[in-house]
Amino acid sequence: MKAWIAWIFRDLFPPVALFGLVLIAWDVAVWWFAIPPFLLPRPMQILGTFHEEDSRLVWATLVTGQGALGGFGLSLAVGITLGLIFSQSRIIRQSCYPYAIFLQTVPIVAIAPLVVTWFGTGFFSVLLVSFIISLFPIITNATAGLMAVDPGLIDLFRINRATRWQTLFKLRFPNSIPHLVTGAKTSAGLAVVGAIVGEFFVGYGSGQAGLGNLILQTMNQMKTDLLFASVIASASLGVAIFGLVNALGGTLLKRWQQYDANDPLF
Amino acid sequence: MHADAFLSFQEVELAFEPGKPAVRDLNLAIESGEILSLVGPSGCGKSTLLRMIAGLERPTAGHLQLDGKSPGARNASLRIGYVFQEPHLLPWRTVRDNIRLPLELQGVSYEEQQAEVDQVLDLIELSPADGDKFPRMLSGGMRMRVSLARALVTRPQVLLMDEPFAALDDVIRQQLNEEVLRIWKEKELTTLFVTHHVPEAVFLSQRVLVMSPGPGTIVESIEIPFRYPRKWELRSTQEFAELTGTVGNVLRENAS
Repeated sequence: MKAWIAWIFRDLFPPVALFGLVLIAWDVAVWWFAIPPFLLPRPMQILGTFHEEDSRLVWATLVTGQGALGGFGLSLAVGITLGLIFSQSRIIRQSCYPYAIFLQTVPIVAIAPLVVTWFGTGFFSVLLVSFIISLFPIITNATAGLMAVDPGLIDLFRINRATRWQTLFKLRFPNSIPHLVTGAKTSAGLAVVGAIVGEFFVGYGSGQAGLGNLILQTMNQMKTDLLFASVIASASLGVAIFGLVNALGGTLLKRWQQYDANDPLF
Repeated sequence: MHADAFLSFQEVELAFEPGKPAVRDLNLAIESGEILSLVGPSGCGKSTLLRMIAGLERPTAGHLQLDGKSPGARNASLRIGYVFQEPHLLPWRTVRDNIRLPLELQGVSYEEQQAEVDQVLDLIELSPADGDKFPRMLSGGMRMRVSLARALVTRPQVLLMDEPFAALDDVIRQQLNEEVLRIWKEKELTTLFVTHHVPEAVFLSQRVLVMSPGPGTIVESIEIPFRYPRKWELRSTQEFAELTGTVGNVLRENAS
């Protein structure tokens, strides 16, 4: 109980208080400098927008969430499969893996217009952009995890005449899980970015009604209060998806925790 | 004469690079049920010798036979228990699941795996409750016991131990040495033990083989006449000290 109270005062209170101060300063500044609302709306106005436009915002968040989760799921499936293939063939790994690393460092966002050109202005293009942007951290981390196996464990499997498949699925794959969780965390955040960028390029005349479309539309219409609300909804979606992956990963990793004599479970 | 032995090396050589043998002129005959130790400075090829028996490395020259077969051959059907320097347990598996891994890889039925694990847990004096723990919850000595249990679960024809207790403190090391002797006696298990700790080698073995480096070869085989069962007290006798000294001297003379 005491620790709980201490936590509120020491860890929760300072950032919350700072947030409150920033809101007050913002509100005062808008009033003091007479900033027009299409440039910077007041905090209370944005809150009011949330209330008025709640169904539209929730819907847009769900649409974008679908694109992001779809893209992320596809990245996991494809990335892990490619990692498994890379781990099994030196030739394929040596010819393809450099590109996976290279593509991770280039702004892959640039190909979003191409995707829209080829696949049209529908949900599929959004999902595809999200997928392409979130794919590479999964490939590189899965491959690294599948390859970084303790040579002693490989010896153990060889002594017991393990088949290639047994070594892959009973040793290499489980060994790659911690790496994969790291990759998934990066990838989940990128998937949200990808979905919103995809929606930008798909455009708001397309019938897509995600956060990206809403941001684009409100920007053009100078509805800055709704633009702010959309940006905040985007941020919340990103945090929610990252939080979900982080929590799932943490639960999964409990089993993978390395030896630790000071472990409280001991 | 060598070829009939249970485990025989004849002029065995292994070169990782052509013309630079890591070990050479290895001649050795070990009878079934013997326990012996290999001592020598680090880098002299003790581990390489074990790895060849396990089929992890192939000799580049000479003949190596275990129970009439050549280790490492795809159809050799040899059962080898190998205990590494590190416990090498899979952190995502419980103790039981770690121990049954070799049987699982061999396609033994699940029920049979469990029965064998029960037996080996009993043999190694681990409680069933320990079986459900994860390796991270165990002390260093316990992990090594689990590693030993995993090596024994296949009922191996030969037990190879590569400096298994080097990281443990003296008391636990001595306990585990006595454990190894108890299991060796009970199972009449041919055992090869690599160590750089001379008293450990003398305590365990019927014979101590001394290796010299560059390229590694066996320079001397020293008989250890003490009767089994050997207990802790043996280590404080004068005879023990004298033999340890002898082995130590041979080791020093061939060190460089």
